[in-house]
Amino acid sequence: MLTGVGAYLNILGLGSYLVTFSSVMDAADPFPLLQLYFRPPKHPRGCDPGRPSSAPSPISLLPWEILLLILSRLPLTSRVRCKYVCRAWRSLVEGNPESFPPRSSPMGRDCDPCVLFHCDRSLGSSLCFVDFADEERLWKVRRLHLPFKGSMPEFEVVGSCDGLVCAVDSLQRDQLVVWDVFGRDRWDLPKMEGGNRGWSNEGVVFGFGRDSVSGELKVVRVSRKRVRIAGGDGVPLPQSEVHVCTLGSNTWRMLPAEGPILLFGNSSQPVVNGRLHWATIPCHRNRESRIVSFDLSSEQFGIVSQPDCLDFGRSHFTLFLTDGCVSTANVMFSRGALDIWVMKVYDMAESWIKWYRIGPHVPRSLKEMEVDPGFKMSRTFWRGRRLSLT
Amino acid sequence: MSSKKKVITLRSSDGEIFEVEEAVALEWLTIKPLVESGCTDAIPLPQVTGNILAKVIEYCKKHIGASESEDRKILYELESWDADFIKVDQGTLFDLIRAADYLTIKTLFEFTCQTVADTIKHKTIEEVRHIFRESNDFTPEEEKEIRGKSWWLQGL
Repeated sequence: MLTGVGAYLNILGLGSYLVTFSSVMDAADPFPLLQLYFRPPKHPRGCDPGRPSSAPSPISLLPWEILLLILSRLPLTSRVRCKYVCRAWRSLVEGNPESFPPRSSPMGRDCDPCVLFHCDRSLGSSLCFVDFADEERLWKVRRLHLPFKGSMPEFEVVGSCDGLVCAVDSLQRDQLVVWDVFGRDRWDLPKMEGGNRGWSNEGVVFGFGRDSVSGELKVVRVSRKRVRIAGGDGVPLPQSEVHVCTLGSNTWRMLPAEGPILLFGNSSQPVVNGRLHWATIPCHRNRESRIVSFDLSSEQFGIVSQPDCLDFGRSHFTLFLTDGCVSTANVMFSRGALDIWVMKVYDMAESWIKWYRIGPHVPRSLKEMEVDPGFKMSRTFWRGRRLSLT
Repeated sequence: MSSKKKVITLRSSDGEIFEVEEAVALEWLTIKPLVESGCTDAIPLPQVTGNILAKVIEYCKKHIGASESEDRKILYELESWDADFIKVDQGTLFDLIRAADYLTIKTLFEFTCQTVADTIKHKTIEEVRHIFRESNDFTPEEEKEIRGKSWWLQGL
């Protein structure tokens, strides 16, 4: 039911970004997940892999960065087709693998919408996408080629940045891969030394983003466990460990402990102001979800202001990005609606606005299906998933 | 009051002399500092030929002020004017891109790049090769290999 999703996208004005909607249908986790998938032009400026010396065609005489800019304006399907035109075009589309880390082009347009769908089935996970820049083929679901399919059949998407997607295997949660969706590059991250011994796999939350200062790509890993403090009252206290891996460095660095960080890992971590964002898990001491940020360059955690409003704090929310602002989709359990909140000015509690409410109505085309009314929203997205499986 | 608008003189690579209003030249970020400094000599533009410079000036004259207009009629007319303007051969189109890049004229650069992108969009591989006079230099094995990688795009 992609038209439904697309319509929502248009209503939400999310058209200028890539958003992934995926949902889990089981009752234990009935939340529609909104994940942002950001598709910018992926190629760095000024990296010229060199052109073949045969008689140049007029277009190949254009400067490399202008050609990249033109390519960046193409819908994904057209861009991939360009790979097969000739060798020069192929190296243009695929970029130069030696240039690492890939940098985003400052001149590029960053508004080609594309949606990634994550499908879970018994044989493993797969990813499908819909390219919204592709006017003629709008709503057509295509499956993505996954270069790590053999070694990691079941995975979860951690996040994406500049055309790169980071995924983690969903069983052990210790194998991470970053790959270029449109190119051929792929990086396997090192496994954690000692694995996850003593640390519950469930509690491991990842983040992926670019350090805006150094340009490095970083994967953040936050794990937690409960430990009994000697001499305490016997209640196990949660503790967290934070590790960072800079792509290309091949090691995980442990950051100094900052106390327990309980993060909700099932959503994307929008990067705003060079910071990753997560929602926290409500606990008995703090019943409201908070938004936690992590500065990718200074590697410090922080708390982001959020609206002082009961509706907001008590609802379950998922973070995503709209127009460069941290946004949340809050599930209103009592009413079955989905509220979209946007923080217009970064870290200013007063700048949060309730931007849009997706009512609990069901698109007509879905009405004939018999589903628990509580899962209406999920179902819309779920239909998207199902469609992508065919 | 200021009945006579200030005119800037430009010299193309092949020695042709053009005169443009200051307001137009100020949109060209590459020569903007020169114009602002009150340069009265002809500004040499060694990377742009006369015929391309004439087209660039034509475009900028038409667009100055009009692009910001909110009048739908004006915008519609401008759009159809643009469509006629860009009906040029490939060589001229690429020269316009280079000139717009060199002179840093954002509107023209965006417009010309988008035109090329629109040409590629929704075309088959064969069509793209034909349009841009590129020849297929893949070996059959290579072609098979890359196509295998992107099996999800087969039939496009």
